[in-house]
Amino acid sequence: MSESQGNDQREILRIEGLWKRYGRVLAVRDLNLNVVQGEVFSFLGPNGSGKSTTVGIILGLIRPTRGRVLAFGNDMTKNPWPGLQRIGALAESAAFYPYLSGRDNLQALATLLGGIAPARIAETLEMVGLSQRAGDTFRTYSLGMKQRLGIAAALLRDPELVILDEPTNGLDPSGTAEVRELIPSLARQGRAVFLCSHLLHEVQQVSDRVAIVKDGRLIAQGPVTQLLRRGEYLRMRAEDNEPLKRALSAVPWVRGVESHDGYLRVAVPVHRAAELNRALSAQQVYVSEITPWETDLESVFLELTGEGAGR
Amino acid sequence: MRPILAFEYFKLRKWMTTWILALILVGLIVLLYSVLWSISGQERTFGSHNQFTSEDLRRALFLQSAVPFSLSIVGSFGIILSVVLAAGAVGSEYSWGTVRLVATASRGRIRMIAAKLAMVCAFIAAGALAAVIVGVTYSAVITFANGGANLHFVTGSFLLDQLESYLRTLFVIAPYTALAFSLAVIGRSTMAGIGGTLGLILVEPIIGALMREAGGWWHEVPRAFPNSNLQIILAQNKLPDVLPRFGPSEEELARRGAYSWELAALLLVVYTVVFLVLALVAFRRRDITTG
Repeated sequence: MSESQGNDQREILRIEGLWKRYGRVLAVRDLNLNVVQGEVFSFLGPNGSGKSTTVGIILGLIRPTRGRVLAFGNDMTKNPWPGLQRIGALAESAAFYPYLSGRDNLQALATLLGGIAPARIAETLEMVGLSQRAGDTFRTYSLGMKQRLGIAAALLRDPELVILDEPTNGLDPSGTAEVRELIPSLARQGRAVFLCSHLLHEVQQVSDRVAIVKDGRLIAQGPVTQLLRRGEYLRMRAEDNEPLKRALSAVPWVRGVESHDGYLRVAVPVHRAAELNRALSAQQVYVSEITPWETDLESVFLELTGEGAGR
Repeated sequence: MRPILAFEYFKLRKWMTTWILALILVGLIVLLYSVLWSISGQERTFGSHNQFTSEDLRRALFLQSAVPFSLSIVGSFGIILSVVLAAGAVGSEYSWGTVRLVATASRGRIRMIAAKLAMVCAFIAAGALAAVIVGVTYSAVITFANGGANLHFVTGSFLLDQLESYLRTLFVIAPYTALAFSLAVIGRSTMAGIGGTLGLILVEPIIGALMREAGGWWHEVPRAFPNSNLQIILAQNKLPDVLPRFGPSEEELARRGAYSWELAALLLVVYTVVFLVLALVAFRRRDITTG
């Protein structure tokens, strides 16, 4: 993924000091984030962390307790319609009229939206691979087909901001792979994609930036590469890790050492690996393995949210 | 407003429930005409004082009374069907989760709910008209089959009277339809709309009778009930006495000390407006979450 926050990229969505309280429960607490044109922005968090509430507020379905959401400069908490015209969303699960066919559901939606050419319906059905079953009633669709129709509906008005809440929910592996290809392609077309998903492996592959929320609070936000802290840690092992650990502690520019599954995670920039190895050799400590510490989004997510505790 | 009206029309037209309800209404009219026609073939007398003959009943089934008789069925059973349609049209959006889809594609919540209400009313009006057409058609068959093909009664004032009967019937359907609509919005479910409204329709006469028995100022309260007042309006529809009447006669209403039709109409308007305002305020203010 390319870095997406260049200076020339237009801000599509801005959330400022957003709070939402349901009775005694604070669903969203002081959320601040922004999404720019041409990027895939992923919004992650455990169940009940306020993701769907935030999406609901962006779409004008839920009124915030405090704060505001600007989409294309339009305040969605006051008059969402001008912003909604440029947004396509698959919020929570795909919901359609069960007695209508997939095509009729899109036709009905196109009638409601206005200004959508009939060819666009066929085009979006083709895009999500539903052309063959477009004439079948929605109630006969599998979960995966329902999701596909939801994505088609989100793309129907050719939106500049696409909000996808768990788009791969219920999809088979090939469907998941198709959506994984579709998401970055939408961003390449100049759209912004706001993605909520619990499939962190998928998110890591398609996202430019990620925000992680827990209990309604933003706990991390930034480019995927930055969150993964790539290039900031070395993975080291020796025949006996204890002398190695002591030797590393003696190196003044080593920022920290932690034990992980028989390895040491050493907080040293990867480009200083050779220099570190020389410093250890000087202390008569020889490492048997030294590589960049590769982590994934799932590990970062579990670490930040504490969801991995007890595993 | 046109796109959302077209959208609501498309959905209601394709919804099986709409056609089932229409079929029930039309079926009731056909059934009642068939049964009464069958009874009129027997040599016997009818009425509380045996004042009507089979011939009276047969003539009452002729074209002259077809419209008010069909409308009397619409004004009684039709109310229940309208309640089901109104509550179902709103409540289903919550149960299917489509309320989110529509809300994000509409130019405002008030427009969204107003368009739905307008289209439900249009379908109820069309259903009532279909019921009248079926009733008139069946009655025409009976009339012509019995040599009663005399259309001298069809004058300008007769047609105007039929139109007034039709509008009066639609008018009395409005408060309960509005209540069902409102309860479905507030309860976010079809069952809330149907259960609440039919419960009220069922309980109203019982509570009213008890209050009248209690005397004093209690006696006055049932006069303001929606059902009491819609019966006053429906009683304006002229129907031969030999035909079954699904509600009290004008004499019975006078005995109860019912309000004038003008006051009754005003009260029904107030009920309708209050129910609709409640629905609009609730829908406008509340968060739209899963049903």
